[in-house]
Amino acid sequence: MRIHDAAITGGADKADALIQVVDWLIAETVRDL
Amino acid sequence: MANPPAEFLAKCKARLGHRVMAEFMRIQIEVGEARGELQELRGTVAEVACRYGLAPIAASTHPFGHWRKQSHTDKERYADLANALQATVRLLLICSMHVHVTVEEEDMRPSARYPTLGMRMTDFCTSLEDSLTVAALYQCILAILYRLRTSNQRWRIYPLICVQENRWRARHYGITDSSVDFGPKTRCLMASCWPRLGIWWPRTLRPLGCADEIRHARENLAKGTSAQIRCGSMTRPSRAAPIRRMP
Repeated sequence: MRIHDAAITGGADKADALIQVVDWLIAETVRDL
Repeated sequence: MANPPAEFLAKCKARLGHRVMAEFMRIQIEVGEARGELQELRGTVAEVACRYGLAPIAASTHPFGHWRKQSHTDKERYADLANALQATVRLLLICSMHVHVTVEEEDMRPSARYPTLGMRMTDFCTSLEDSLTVAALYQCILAILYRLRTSNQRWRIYPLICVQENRWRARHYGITDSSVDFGPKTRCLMASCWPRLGIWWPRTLRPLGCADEIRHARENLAKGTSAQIRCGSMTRPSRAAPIRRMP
């Protein structure tokens, strides 16, 4: 299953988890600047 | 995952010049070269993006971005690509990390854009330190091969299908499982391969000045990558993947 489909069909918990991943990616990208 | 406004790249270019470039998708941009420069480039792109309510992520793909919502960069070359390849390129929401290393030999510069040997097979590292470590490893391995070449020697050449087997395993299991050492025909955990590669470091680290990055690679083998640390623990496959019997 494609991950964005999982966000849609997996319900609020899965969507929240994916948003947390993006938040982490944003923070990690600029962490060592 | 939002398409940035047209002036976003122009503003980045105004501050960073040719060191920042458009990629096929408007959401993708390309930045280059080592630590101080990478810090400046990432910092500037993040700062400019913030003005538009955006934030960049250094990643090979977005966790839930959808290709239907993307548009390509407005350049003739990309318009030609889109026209010729249609859905094939419109579906490409992935990008890889490109590392270019200059080699002082005229016949070793296959990159079309730069006088370098380019490597673009690794995933994008979100962590700046991990990005620099991958670049340093590639630089050191090229230095080892160059040293061999100038001594009229070379690394053993394996059939492409064998190399692809290890590539497949690396792609699926990362640094946590074994790859195949085709010399002794055994499986080998990356951590146990490291000491064998390490005999070359003293001869290549000093002139290249990348000791810190190589140390970080060893730390990654012990602690896991930043993504694995984020997940809480080193992940291991539930069972060893099958490997065909070597002839």
